[in-house]
Amino acid sequence: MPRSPIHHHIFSIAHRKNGYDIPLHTRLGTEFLVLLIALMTYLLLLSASGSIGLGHMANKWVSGLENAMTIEIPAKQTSPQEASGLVRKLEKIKNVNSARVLTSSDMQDMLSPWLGNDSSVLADLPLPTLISLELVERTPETTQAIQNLVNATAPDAIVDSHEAWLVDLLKLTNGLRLTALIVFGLILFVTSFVIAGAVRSRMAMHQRELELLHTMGATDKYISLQFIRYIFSQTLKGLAFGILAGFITFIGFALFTNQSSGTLPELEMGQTDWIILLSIPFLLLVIGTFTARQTVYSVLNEMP
Amino acid sequence: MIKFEHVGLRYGIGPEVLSDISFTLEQGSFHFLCGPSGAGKSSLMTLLYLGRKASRGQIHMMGKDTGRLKRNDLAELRQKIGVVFQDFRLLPHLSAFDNAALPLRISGVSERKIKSHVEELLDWVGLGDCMKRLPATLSGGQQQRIAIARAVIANPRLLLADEPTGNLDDEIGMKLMGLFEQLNKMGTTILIATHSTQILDRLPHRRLILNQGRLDIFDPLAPNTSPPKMPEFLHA
Ligand SMILES: Nc1ncnc2c1ncn2[C@@H]1O[C@H](COP(=O)(O)OP(=O)(O)OP(=O)(O)O)[C@@H](O)[C@H]1O
Ligand SMILES: [Mg+2]
Repeated sequence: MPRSPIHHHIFSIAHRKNGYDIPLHTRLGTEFLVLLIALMTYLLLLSASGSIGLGHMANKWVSGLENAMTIEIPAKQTSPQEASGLVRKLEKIKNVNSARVLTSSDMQDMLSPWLGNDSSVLADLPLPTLISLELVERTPETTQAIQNLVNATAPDAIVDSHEAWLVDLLKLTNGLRLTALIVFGLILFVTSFVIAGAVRSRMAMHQRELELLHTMGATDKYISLQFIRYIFSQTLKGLAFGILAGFITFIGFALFTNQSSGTLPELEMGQTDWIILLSIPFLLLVIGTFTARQTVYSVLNEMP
Repeated sequence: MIKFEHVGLRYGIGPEVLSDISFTLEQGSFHFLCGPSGAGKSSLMTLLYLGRKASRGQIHMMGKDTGRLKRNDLAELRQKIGVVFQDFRLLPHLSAFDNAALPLRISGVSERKIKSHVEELLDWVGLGDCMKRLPATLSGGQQQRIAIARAVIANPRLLLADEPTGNLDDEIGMKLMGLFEQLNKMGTTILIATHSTQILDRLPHRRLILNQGRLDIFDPLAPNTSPPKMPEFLHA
C-alpha cells in the first residue's frame, strides 16, 4: 500500500516515551490527577499553616495571661496607702515577680478606646483600685497565698486569675487544631482513594497491554513500577502547582497582616513548623506511590 | 520438558474445549500442532504459555508443577517461553524496535545489548529499515515478522507459534521456518500450530493432531504408520 510522505513522517517518529511499555504518557482522562494533587497540596498547606498559626496565637495569648493576675478592690473601699501596703505584702509572696497599683494614667490608657482622651470624665467615675500582679510561675500554692492575703486585708476585693479565660481559650484552640487534623487526614484519605481509582481506570484501559506483558513474564514489580513512575510524575507536577498557589497565598497573607494594626499575630515560623510544611509534599509522594503500588498489585493478582 | 496429564480446559461455564489431554514433549523436540479450525489449538497454546489455568489435570513444565508455582516463579518460567500469537498482539504505540525489545527489557537486559541484538534480528527478518515505525503502518506480513522476532529475541527454552506463517509468502515463510529449525538445533523446544500443508509436507516433524478437544500423535518418519484417521483438510 503506497503511503504519503506526510503519513510516513508522522508514523515513523515512534519511540518508547519515558520508558513506558504501557502508553501511560498518552492523555486519556487521568490528567485531572495533577489538578487534584495541586488542590490537595494547597489545602494541606493551608490547614497545616492554619493550625500552626493558631498554635502560635494561642501561645501568645496564653503566655500573656498565664503569669498575670489582677486584684480588683471596689471603689472608695481603700485608701492609696492601704493599697500600696497590700502591694508590699504581695511582693513578699513566693513566685510573685512584681505587683503594682495601676495609676490613673494606666487606667486612662485602658479606657481611652471607649471614653476618649478626656481625663475629666475619668475623675468623676467611681473607678476601682486595680493591682496588677506578675508571677514567676503560677502554682496552686501561690494562688492560694494571694487569695488568703487579699481576704485578710480587703475582704471585698476580687482576685481575677484569668483561669476561666485560659481554659476557654485552650478549649477553643484545641478544638480548632483537632478539626484541622481531621481535615488533614480526610484530604490524605481522599487523595489516596482518587489515585487508586485513577490507577484502576488506567489499568482497565490498558488491559490488553497488561495481559501481554504478563504473559511475556513481566513480574508484578516490573508492571507496577511503570504505574508508580506515572503517578510519581503526576504527583510532582501537582505538587509544583499546589506549592506555587500556597506560596502566593502566604505572600498575600503576609502583606495583609503587615498593613493591619497588629491585633493579628504575624506568622512566625519555627523550625518544627517548617519541617511540618516541608513534609507535606513528601507525604503526598509517599502516599501516591504507595497507593499506586498496592492498587496495581491487587489488580494484577486477578490475572493467572 | 512438558508433560500434560489429563488436562481439561473450559471457558467460564462453557463446554470443555479441551478434554483429557495427555502428552509429553521432550526437551529439544520439534512438533507441529494441527487440527481443524476451532479444534482448540490456540486454547492449548494458551495453557502452554501459562496464560490460563487448566480447569483440571496437571501441567509440568521444565521440571515444575505449574499449578503449584508462586506468582514470581510463574513469571520467571514465562520469561523462558517465546510466543508468536495468531493475532500478533503487538503493542500499537511502540515501534517495531521497542516491540521486539520487550522480552529483553522485561528480563532486565542492558539497553546497549538490547540495541545490538534487536537491530541484528530485525535486519535478519528483513525489517532493518522499518525499526522505528509503528505496527499500524506495516503490512500484515511485516507485523508477523516483528511478532516472531519478539518471540525469539530472548532465546527462549520453549517456542510456541500459532500460525506463524499465515500472512507470509512461501519464501519468507520457509526462511522463518529455517530460523525455527536453527533455534531447535540449539536446544529450543518448538511447537508450531499450522494449517500449511506446504510446511507440513516439507518438514517431517511429529504432529500433535487435535480434533474435537482430543489429541493424537502422528510421526511421519516412523515406519509403517499411516496417519490416524487423517482429517481431510490436511490433504485437501
Ligand atoms: N476466550 C474464549 N472464551 C470462550 N470460548 C473460547 C475462547 N477462546 C476460544 N474459545 C472457544 O474454544 C474453542 C477452540 O478455540 P481455539 O481458538 O482454541 O481453536 P483453534 O484450533 O485455535 O482455531 P483456529 O484454527 O481457527 O485458530 C472454540 O469453540 C472457541 O469458540
Ligand atoms: Mg487458533
